[in-house]
Amino acid sequence: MMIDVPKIAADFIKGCNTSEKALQNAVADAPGILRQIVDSQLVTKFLPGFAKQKLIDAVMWAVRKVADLLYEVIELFRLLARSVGNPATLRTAAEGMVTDVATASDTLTEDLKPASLQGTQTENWKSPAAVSYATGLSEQALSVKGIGEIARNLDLALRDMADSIESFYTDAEIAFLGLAISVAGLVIAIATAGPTLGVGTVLGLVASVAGLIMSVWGFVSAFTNSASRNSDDAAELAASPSVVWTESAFAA
Amino acid sequence: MVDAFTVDPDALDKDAQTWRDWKGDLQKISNGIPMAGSDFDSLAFSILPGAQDVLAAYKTVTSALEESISTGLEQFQGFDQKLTKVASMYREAEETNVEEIASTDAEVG
Repeated sequence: MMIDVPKIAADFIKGCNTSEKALQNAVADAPGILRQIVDSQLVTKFLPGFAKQKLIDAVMWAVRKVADLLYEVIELFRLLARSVGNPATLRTAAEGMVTDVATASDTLTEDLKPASLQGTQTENWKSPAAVSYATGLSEQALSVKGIGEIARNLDLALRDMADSIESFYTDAEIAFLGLAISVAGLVIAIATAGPTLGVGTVLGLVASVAGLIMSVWGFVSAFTNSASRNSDDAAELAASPSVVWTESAFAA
Repeated sequence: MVDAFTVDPDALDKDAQTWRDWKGDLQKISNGIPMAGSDFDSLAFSILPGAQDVLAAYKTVTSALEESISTGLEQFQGFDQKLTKVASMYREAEETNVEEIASTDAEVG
């Protein structure tokens, strides 16, 4: 799975800006709209002024509460967009790890054999030191071989991390949809509250809260999945065997 | 040639060069390790939950690998130097023997 994470992040920023502006406008317009409604609707227009204001204040309190929650979620998406990570960079590093480290060490391991040297041939060198030389060569070859094993573990960790980021943002896109729904629900509710004062707004608040729950659930799910996967990868990488380079007697 | 041993100093010199070349190859491998924070931005790992643990483990393992390879580089250099030294010692011993033989020959003569 490969998705364009930077594009998703850019979409988050753009969507956050649009949602925030719509939300600010709706909340700013809400008292005026509510005032018009309470002054014109049959069920409220004969109420005394203080009662009308109490009604407006009650609805506005709920609107502001939901709006504040929405602002928090918008900020969270902005933070995510800023700390998006870069799967492409991780994959490029993984490729370098394979080509420049794992494969190169495999090649060097292949080179480190008696046939590559002259001093390992008895017709060129026959002495106790020559035996130590041959032993040292095989020790060094084993150590070089160990580089490849570690490099492949690191390659895997980088690719897993890239996948994990992409997986997270796939889940986060669903959560972002919840945010968009909740903002739209509130904005539309305020704009269309006229015919059924209170009812429309309250229904809109319910829609907003439902959207928020969807957002939050999406976040929790995405974060939980990401945390679990990344912790496993970190533990696996930390436990990977390290190269303990053999120090040959010959090289002393 | 030295009595009781078979040795070709030129062969050892060639081997020393081979170890120098291998050291160069090993150095390239070390340089090729993508180090987070210097070769690429650590923020590529993101700040998602657990990502910093992966980054920390990655840094630990790559640093350990780099350090281990630096021991390898010293080892390869040790092979190069030892071979060069041994080749030189054998040559000196051979020259000494030739001089001794020549001197002995002169005395005998």
